[in-house]
Amino acid sequence: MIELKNISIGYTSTLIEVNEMILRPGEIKALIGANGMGKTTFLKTLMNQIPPISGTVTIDDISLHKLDRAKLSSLVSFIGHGFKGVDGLSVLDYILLGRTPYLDRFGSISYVDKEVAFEALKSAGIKSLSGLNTSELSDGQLQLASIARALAQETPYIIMDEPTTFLDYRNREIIFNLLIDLSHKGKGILFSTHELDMVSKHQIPVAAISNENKMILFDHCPKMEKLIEICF
Amino acid sequence: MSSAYKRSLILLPITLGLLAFTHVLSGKFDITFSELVSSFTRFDPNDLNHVIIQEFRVPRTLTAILAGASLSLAGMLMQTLFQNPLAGPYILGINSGAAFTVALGTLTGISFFQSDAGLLGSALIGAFIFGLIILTFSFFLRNIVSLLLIGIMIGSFTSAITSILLSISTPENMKIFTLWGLGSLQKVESGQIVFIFISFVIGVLLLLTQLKGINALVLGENAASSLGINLRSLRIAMISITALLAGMVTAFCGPISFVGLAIPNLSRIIFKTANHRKLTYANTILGAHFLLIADLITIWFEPIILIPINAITALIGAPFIMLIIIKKLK
Repeated sequence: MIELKNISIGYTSTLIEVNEMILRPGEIKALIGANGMGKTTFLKTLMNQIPPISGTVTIDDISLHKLDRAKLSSLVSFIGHGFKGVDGLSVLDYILLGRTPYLDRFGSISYVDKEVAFEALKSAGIKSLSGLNTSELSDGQLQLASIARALAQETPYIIMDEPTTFLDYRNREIIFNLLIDLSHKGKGILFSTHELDMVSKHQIPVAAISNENKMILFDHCPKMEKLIEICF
Repeated sequence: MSSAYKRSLILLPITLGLLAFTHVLSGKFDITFSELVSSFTRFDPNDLNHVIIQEFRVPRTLTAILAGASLSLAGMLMQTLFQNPLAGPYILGINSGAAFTVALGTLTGISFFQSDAGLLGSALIGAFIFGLIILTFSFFLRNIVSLLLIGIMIGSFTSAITSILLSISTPENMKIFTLWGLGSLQKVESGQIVFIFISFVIGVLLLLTQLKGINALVLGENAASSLGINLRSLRIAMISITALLAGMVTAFCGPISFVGLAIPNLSRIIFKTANHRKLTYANTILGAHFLLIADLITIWFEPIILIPINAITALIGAPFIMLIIIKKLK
């Protein structure tokens, strides 16, 4: 499990204080907070891209700063936002890049890697897209491909920064259902989002960054009015 | 797509071979195919054509192949590292860095710096240092256009210093450097080919060991990092390999422009892939094609006028790059 205890997060001054937060495999959590309250900083801290100001994050009982990048990449996969596809990079090749932590330095792809990638394509429901160029995909398809890439990485935890931004209603539904489904299959998922209606509709547990810079956890999604009062 | 790639594995080496033959056989003196063969099988030092083939023609052909391949691979690395199709060793100031240290060396008049090892050494050091300078700028200049402009400015700055150095040097040294600065494939002697070949092989082998990281870097630095790639060591490796490949060519052939900028783009367009294993092959073979063709053109014009190789690479390369910019940025 990913465990945070008495941690303050931020670059130079504290943006968020977390008393305790735990994410186990099989759990899903939506990270909610107003713009500029530190959602991305929080996710970056979990990805060990910036150190916490005080306290430590542990993943499966190992403290984050002791994990090297290679080991971390086999525990946590990260999907940032803003990936627009790359000219000449096919969907299958993109998903195969999720196998990077398991490849030798020459990047040789084995039969197993291909099997895992195909499995990931299937789980994300985009088998038919495998031969397409990533630069030709719609935003919704790109997001599904990114999730498939994270699945190919075979990590117990997946962290996502605003996976449904720019998506239409139908695609948001698809992504939310997929994330919930993946958590049922054992993945620990944490994603930042502004879709309060979706979170509340699907009854997803919430980690909210309050106006007072505190992390407040809800095992059951609270009423939207309450969330808005706390965060915005 | 992948069957097209497989076809290219057979087809392009054949066309390269044919081009190389044409290149060897082209020039002021008519040389027949049988003379070419016999110069290898039973070399006669009194036969002028044999000497021409062994001392001038073959080295020049091999230089075109190796230099074209090396500069293209260097360009591929820079374009992936800076995630911009307009990056290249020339435009980022890496070539002019090599030129600068070569000038420093040559113009001191110390004979070591005018030897092969001295020339190669100073070019490599220059290429590496200027690679690191542009890499340092890239850490706090996120805007790629600014970075390219910085590269161009560094290039102008170092050329200015180089020209000052020139003006205070002896006419003899000045001439050596000016000729070198024009860029030429024909000054490489058979003994120097070994240097170029070894640097090319080492460069490619090192490149292959970085393929995993380079492929992941296509997704951007954050994504590559989350895939377990150590960005710092990857960046330094990519700059070092670029310095080796571009610096070595620059040392012996002078600064040759546009190959490293145009061919990586052409490779991506033709091979439609972001897989750097395939792109390594594509750049090697297309780069060799390109410089052979460019040099063939200068050879054909030789009876009328002496065109520097740089003029040809720019005449073909510049419009091609303009096309790409118009297509990408419109």
